Amino acid sequence: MSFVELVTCHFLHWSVQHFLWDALAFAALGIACARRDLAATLMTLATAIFVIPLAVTAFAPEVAVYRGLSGLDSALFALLLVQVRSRIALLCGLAFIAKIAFELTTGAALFATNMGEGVVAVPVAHIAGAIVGTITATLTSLCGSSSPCSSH
Amino acid sequence: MWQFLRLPAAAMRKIMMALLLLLAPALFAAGTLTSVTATNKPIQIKDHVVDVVIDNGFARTEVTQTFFNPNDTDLEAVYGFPVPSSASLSEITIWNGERILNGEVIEAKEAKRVYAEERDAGNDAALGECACTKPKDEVEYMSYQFSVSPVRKQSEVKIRFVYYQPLTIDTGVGRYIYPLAEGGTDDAASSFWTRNPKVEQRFAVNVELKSGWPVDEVRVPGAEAEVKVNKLTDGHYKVTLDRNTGDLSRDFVFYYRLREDLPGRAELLAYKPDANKPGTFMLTVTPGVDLAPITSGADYVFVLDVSGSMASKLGTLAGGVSQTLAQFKAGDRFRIFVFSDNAHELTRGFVDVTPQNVAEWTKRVQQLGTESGTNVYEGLKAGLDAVEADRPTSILLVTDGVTNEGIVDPKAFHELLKKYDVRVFGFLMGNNANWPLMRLIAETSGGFYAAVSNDDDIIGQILLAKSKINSEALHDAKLTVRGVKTFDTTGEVIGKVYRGQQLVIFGRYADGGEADVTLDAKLTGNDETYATRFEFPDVATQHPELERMWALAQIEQVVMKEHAGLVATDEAEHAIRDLGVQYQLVTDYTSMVVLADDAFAKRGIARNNKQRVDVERAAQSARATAPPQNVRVDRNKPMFPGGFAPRLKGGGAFDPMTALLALVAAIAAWRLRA
Repeated sequence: MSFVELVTCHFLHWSVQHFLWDALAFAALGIACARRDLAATLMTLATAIFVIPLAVTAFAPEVAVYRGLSGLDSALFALLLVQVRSRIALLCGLAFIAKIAFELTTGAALFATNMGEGVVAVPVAHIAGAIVGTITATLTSLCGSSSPCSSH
Repeated sequence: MWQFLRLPAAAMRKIMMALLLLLAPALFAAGTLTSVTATNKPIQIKDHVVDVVIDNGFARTEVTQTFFNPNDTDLEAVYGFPVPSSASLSEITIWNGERILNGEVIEAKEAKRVYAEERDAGNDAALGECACTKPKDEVEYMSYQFSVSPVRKQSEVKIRFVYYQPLTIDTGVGRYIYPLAEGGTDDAASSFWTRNPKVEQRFAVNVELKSGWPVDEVRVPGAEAEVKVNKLTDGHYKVTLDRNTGDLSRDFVFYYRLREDLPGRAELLAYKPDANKPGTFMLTVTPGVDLAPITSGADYVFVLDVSGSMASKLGTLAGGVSQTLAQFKAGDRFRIFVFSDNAHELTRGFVDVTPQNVAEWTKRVQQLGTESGTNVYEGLKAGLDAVEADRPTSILLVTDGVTNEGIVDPKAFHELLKKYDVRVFGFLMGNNANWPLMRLIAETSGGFYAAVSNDDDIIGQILLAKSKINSEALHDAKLTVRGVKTFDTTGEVIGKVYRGQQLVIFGRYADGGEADVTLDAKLTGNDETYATRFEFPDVATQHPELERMWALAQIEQVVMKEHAGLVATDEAEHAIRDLGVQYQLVTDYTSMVVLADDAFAKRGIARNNKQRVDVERAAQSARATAPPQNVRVDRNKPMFPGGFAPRLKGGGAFDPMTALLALVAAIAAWRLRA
């Protein structure tokens, strides 16, 4: 996978429906995250943009072409949930974990999504994104500031 | 009689064959059958509509046709058509006036007796019989035959029948054949019946293809201009052929080509309506193994059947051989044998592949004419004896497999082939052909066989076969399932796996659970293992038809063992009859008697088929509205990592529910911040 493919795969989609829901979630989560902590948001996206396709290559080798924003959505989702730490956030987090677990064990999407014929769900992208989001949120939280630790 | 005409017998046979060729369109077709001595006008076929659904590895074919009796007396309608490959005839329904009749499978002789009694009493009745692998009185070899009585004078009767058959994908190409052209392999039946293949009004074939994998192209050879193709999604097509009149003398062949470079995979269909009872499965493995082409020169020995039963297929045979010769490369060599009553060589020893030689022998093959009997054993032996041990050699046997001269016992073929280390690749021509013998020959020698219709893309079939013959193969292949108790499986000991070949294993399993599935094989001398892990469901209700297809696969296995002399004939008969009755399949030993509900009640015949049909129709209704499903089960642990040039598309998608969840979380975060 070339550098260009690594970066651009998130912004390409298999169908309009695939793009629509991914983009909606990205916009909502992106605005909410950026409003709370712009630096952490950018750090999450900058890391996840590389980690996700590399994780897909390593753990889902049968997938030759990966597309979709949902890996980045997952990263932002995890970042937001760890930062907010409210009851609603906890419930949303649990539901999200359940969805990923279902996809991982069955290989099928929990809810019907028209990604296009022959396109398979790649739950490892969501897991990789969620891990990046969680780690970034934890690190920034441990540093006690939204700024990178090194700035202190 | 020959003396009276003062012609030698051989010359007379040739004249008869020439006459048969002239009559071919009328004789060699599905259609209503009338005794040659009958004085009535033949029963007419008013319309003939075929609805096919191809969905995840198997096809359901429903044929609805209306008979019309143009005579002024009530008559019995008899309709015959060739047995489709691995088809399980499962339903017959008759509408005769106000009455609806349904079919139940019982022992063949009993069914015939019941039908005769009802018919003679003037009651509405029908009978579905099959000479599936054995000749049967008044039923054409390898044919289904339906008898319906009475078709009242100047009245119509509608008949609907349904059968299921597994379909495999070969090198990414799927093929469905609705067989109509009779093979012309049963002289006795041809001399007993005259056939009326004409459809007076509507002839239509509607195919719905639902593939879990994207399909690049669909095609109906010979009817490209007539068919309407409606592509609904990448894997969902509807194809319609609709004619105002038609005749049933040509096969309907439908090809579909999957998108290139799909990965090797394992796909599972299961039926287990009750967690406490055994389930049935169909496991389809598409090996994603890079089988490299063989680059060294090779020898090919053609063994061609030019007997009388090949009369209507000789053009296809010549075309196929010519195109095969054109595919050979420099360094290859070939010899050609032909056989009828006995075998002789057309070439004199091996011929080098050069443009001149290919042109010359193409012309010679195209000039071949048919002769009388069929001595497959003699032809095969001549081909096997012609092999030179120091070069890789394949025998290409082209025949309809109807042996009626010399050694005809399948066991003798089995013994003959075991003496040689040569692969035989069979091309089984036309319908009503002897698939058990060809399968025995192919499996014993480690080759394969392909059934070829006159309406096939012959060049396509040859290219598929060539890619197999000219590529490395997996040897000693065996599929093992561990972790889930499976039994009564068919096809798990595979032997050789050729390029593009799909493996289909039917079986039963005790309880659901996670299973380790392994394909062990040798590739260029090295042991290779391809493994995956997936779940066999504890309850699965989507595909009840699997039980019938599993039972038919069992029956085919019994027939093969009987042919190889591994199972006694009476034991085989017993096993086939039991499976036929239990799973309601029309076989050599079981027939479907079609009566009104009250007649079944009066005779105390259990309604086992009705129960099955009700369950199957409910499942089909549920599937009809669903989009094509991908039933791949090795996604999490691909059986063939890397596959052959995998181009599987993947995406992480936020479905509407998850997007909503994200939206709620975002709003909650926004409000907290505010």
